[in-house]
Amino acid sequence: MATSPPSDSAIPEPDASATPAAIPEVPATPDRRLFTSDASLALPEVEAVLKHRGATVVALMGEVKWGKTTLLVEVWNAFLAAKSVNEVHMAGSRTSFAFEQRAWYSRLASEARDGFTLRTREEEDGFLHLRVRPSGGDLVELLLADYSGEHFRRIREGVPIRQELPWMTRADRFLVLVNGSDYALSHEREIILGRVRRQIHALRVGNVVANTGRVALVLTKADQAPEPTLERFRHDANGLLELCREVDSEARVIETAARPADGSPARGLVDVVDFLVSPDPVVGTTVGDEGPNSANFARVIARIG
Amino acid sequence: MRDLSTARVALLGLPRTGKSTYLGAIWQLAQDPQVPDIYEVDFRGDRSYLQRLGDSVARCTELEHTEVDSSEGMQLTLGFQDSRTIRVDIPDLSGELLNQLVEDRHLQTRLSDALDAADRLALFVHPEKVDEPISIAAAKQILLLAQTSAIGAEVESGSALEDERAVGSAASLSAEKPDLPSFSIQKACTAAKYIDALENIANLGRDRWPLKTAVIVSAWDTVDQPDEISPEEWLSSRLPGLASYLEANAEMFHHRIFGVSALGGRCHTPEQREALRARGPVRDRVYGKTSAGIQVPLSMALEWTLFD
Repeated sequence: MATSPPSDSAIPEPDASATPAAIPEVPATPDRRLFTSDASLALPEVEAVLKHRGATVVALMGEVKWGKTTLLVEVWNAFLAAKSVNEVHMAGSRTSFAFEQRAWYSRLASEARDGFTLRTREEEDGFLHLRVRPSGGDLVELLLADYSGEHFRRIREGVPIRQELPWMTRADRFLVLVNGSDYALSHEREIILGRVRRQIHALRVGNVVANTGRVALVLTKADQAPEPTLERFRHDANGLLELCREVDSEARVIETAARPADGSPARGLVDVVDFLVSPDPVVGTTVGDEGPNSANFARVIARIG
Repeated sequence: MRDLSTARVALLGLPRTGKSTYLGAIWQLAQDPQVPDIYEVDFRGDRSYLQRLGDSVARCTELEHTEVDSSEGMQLTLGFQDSRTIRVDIPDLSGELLNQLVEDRHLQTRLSDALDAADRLALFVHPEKVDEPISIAAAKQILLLAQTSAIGAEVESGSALEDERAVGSAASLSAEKPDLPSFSIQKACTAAKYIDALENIANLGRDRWPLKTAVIVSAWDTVDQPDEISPEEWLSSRLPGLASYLEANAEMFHHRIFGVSALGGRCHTPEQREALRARGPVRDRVYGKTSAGIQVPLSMALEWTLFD
């Protein structure tokens, strides 16, 4: 399938053909009086959050069972278990129960023998909302995409990213996942790397990363990779990072073990949270005073208009 | 007579978190001429509701929450030790209303009206009704530590293995995923429930931010080592997510944490009730704690909430 060539400009121009499908109008909901939702937020609700005070839209990119939802669940669990995660405080959520639902089988109360996360099905696609406050900083509204891995299989197979997930043009933070448990299998390694490259390629040719966007390559399930494998990954990650840096010159690598199989404490969540609340790069004079994602938000609003 | 200022306080909490007991104890103290901290100046409406609450506290009996209800709310004028008086409008009390918001996802008109009118909040949390988000991994770690410690001390390790079997058997009751109990909001952890409730409350009261909010840890006598830990430490340790939420939202909630013992002790059994009554009248049994753990009159939490 044909894909759009990358633009010469770092800032993607609004795509008139993609915009109407990407951003549905917010429906009037006079009867709805609850501010919170017991499910993940659909795009119209995301729109309401964006219009209200702006938000950092976070895309987690990875195929089925690569650990996207588990990463989100364990970030939520970490905020519930301590007053802060590396001096970042949880300041609320409009989707507490959607987080709780996803966290359920990681909890003792579920009666599960080993923690697991139910896979997100396409009909459950949506955004989880988390409001955080870095120490001494302003509130940051995070909209974390919890989308089925099937989308990323299709993107890998050639469906243009803007067609598969039109909202990706609005994302501010991109977490490109690498499944550590599969990477640890020598016969799977090449396949995994190829699939990750396809996601990064899709970001690049789809022109979805704005100049204020940030990209991180996130190794998940690092606990399932022995140290020599991790060393090898760090070597391979350099090549992947070069590709990432074509869309974000400051792209970084994060190694995570959100829910180690041996029951040891989670690793890498602090780095993930730091990445999510990291300030946008200063680009020209477009960053305003309203918040870290104001430039991107303005871009989004322009597209809505 | 000079005009009195009026404070509208919404007493909030999930069911059976100590709202009625606190109000009953406050009422008893306000009627007791030997208590200088708080007294009744005026009351409008049906006193029988408050009297039943007060009687129940005096008798050390637990309130059946269906037994007492105040759909009308109440208006009373209270005086405090330093001659300050204030008219208090308590629009509603039922914990079921908050529960309906959280678990049934339905905002009752009575609750929204109460919250629309309230300019102050008292949020009740009961130490024995906290569901913590304990992860399976954490439980296993604790078990492992317990086993290691038992072996290290050359203690018979049968009990630790028994614990493991207990956890394992709970899991094996439904080892297959289809048989595992599924999630419902009732099973969400307590912090998530309160955060969801407060998000809605803050949204309803956004024209009155910051909402002055007393976070009242009720039944303070039931916490572990109540004289060794402060209410603030307790909240940070048992509900860190809620503590973080409140601290991070100072522009929404101007909060302070209190502990209160509105009965003075446990009253689950006849023996406990008897022992409690033997300690004397309500004024000799009840007490409050500041956020730092300093013992104060029971009415301190209400007084802080009422006055600017």
